Amino acid sequence: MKQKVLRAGIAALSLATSLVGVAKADTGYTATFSTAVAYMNVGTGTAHMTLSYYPENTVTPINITLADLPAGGSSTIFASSVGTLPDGFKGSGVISSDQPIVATLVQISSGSGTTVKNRPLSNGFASGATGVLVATVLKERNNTNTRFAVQNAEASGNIDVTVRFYSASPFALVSTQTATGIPAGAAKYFDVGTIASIPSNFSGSARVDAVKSGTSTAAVVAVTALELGTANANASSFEGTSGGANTIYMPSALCNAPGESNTAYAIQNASDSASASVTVSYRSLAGAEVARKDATIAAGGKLSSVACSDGFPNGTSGSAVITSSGAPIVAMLKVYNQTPPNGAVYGLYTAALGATSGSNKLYAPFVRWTDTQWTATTRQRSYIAIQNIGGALNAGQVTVKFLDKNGAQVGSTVSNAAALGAGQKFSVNPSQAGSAATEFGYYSDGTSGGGMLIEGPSGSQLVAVVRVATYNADNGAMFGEDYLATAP
Amino acid sequence: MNLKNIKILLVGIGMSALVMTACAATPTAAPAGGNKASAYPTPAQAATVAVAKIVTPTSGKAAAHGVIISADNGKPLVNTAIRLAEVYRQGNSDPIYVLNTASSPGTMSDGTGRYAISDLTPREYVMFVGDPTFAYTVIRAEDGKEKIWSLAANQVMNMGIFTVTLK
Repeated sequence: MKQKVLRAGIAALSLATSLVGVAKADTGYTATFSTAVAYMNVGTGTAHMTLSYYPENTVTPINITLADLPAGGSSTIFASSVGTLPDGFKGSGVISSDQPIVATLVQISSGSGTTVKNRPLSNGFASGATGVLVATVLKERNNTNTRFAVQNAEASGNIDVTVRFYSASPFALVSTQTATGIPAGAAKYFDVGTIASIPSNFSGSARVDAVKSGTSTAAVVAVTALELGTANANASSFEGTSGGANTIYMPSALCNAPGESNTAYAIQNASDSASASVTVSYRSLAGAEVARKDATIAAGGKLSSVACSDGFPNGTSGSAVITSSGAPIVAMLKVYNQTPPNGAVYGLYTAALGATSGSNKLYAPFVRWTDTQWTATTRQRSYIAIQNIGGALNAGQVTVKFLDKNGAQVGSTVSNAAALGAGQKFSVNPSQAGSAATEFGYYSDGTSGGGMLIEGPSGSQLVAVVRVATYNADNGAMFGEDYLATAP
Repeated sequence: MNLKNIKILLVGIGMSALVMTACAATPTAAPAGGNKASAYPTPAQAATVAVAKIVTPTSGKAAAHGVIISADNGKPLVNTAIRLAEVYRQGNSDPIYVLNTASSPGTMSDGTGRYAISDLTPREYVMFVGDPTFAYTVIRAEDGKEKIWSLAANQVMNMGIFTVTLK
């Protein structure tokens, strides 16, 4: 059935193009995406890696030996099938390595005439989990549909998946979808926009459970979701999460800063039986609480917390800490332009999970910077917000090193210029490393790859969000998507 | 290779990779008809290309050269990455191509849109123009499928002239 739906989409797109003679503008939802995988060797030795590539529901993967990657090195792979016409291709993959690695997925819209400029980012998973929660699921709500992939994260054997969709208000089970016989490493896709039993204007969540096929033994899965605009070009990506936490850290809080950039937090009560008494504490760059929102979220319910509406000062940036005294919660960070700078083309629109724990060492596998090709829109820039969620740190105690594709440091080490109190943040980008990093991640032979190591003193607790941005030639603003830096 | 049990799960590789289908089914609006329409250079064009970029591979290796033109304005696409993705075949499955941005062979086009890549490992390749994490196109054959070049040892391959739009 899914294949038929997809074929219909292709036919409609082709027909429209030929009839009007110009490229058809996509919405985020009608756009088509392919995936690149940025990865980084965070071990101490050269990584020898294999990519196992699984077309959807395929039993036997295609195994590909990847080029060796030095310690600290990073690269991106783009993999696809040749000649998949007319059915298209969907699938998943597993990278196996003899060194620890981190990975981030880059979703690229490249259909004919696409107006989707965002490149949704989300992290790969080191392992799967049982009972994975998709914190926000939308169907034709705020002009958005959700689509997500459920991957069998077991080492071997098929699994059967059950996805339960719950409305947020009132909290109620709305639809149950199943998929059986998903091979290890392979994935099944759920497009909420095509599930008839889910009503339009739906806002809720989903819980994904799995068992090993033919048994009642729980199985682990990994979930990646896309939020896609149905009347605009918005697109963003985030990860499914298991359970929740009582404290969630948001490295970014914005109220019209810079420009019209704003943050909203989508906070979900992860319990289906207990309420959550939630406090959103907004912090200034100096770490002081400057605004606060208190609310109670019913079991399974959701709360939207918008910085500007919650009293966070206009024109400022900072961070936030969200706490729940009752049920555990999950929270998503969303960054967007308050007013679309162009009626047809939105600008910044991002999503990332809030952080539930920190680390004294964080890696980011996909970091770029350009001075020369920014406005030409052929290269990108990365902006990194680092939040201290542990005890106070002195100036200079948090260091940031930008590492080229082979793991060699580029330019000078960047550090926090001022002391960092608990909850306080600072921002960096590769240009601060000096002239050697003016085209960080790009090389004269056409290759690309660059990552980042953030390091604090032993025992410190840091979280960081990386924004990969593209200049918007239509209005001088930028597109961008966020992902969380990862602990080794 | 003794791989330990360190794995990263990549949910969404090729997620809605229907994109590849859409690309092929609807050629980009381009003065020269997109890369599909101009996939094969005229003899005169090919001769010009050959004169412009002559590369000689080392023994046992291969080389490739060609020209890329912007579909937006018909001018040479300058200072743009040209990358060759390795093709893998296994059983009766459709071949897979994998571009590794840090290590797959490639180069940058020059001020006239020309490029040359030498010392290629003889094998099958698919060609990318642009940055696969951002704005790119995959060169396709007239049937809309990704074009596969098979390069033999000591061969110098004229890839031709392609008019492309980076998306």
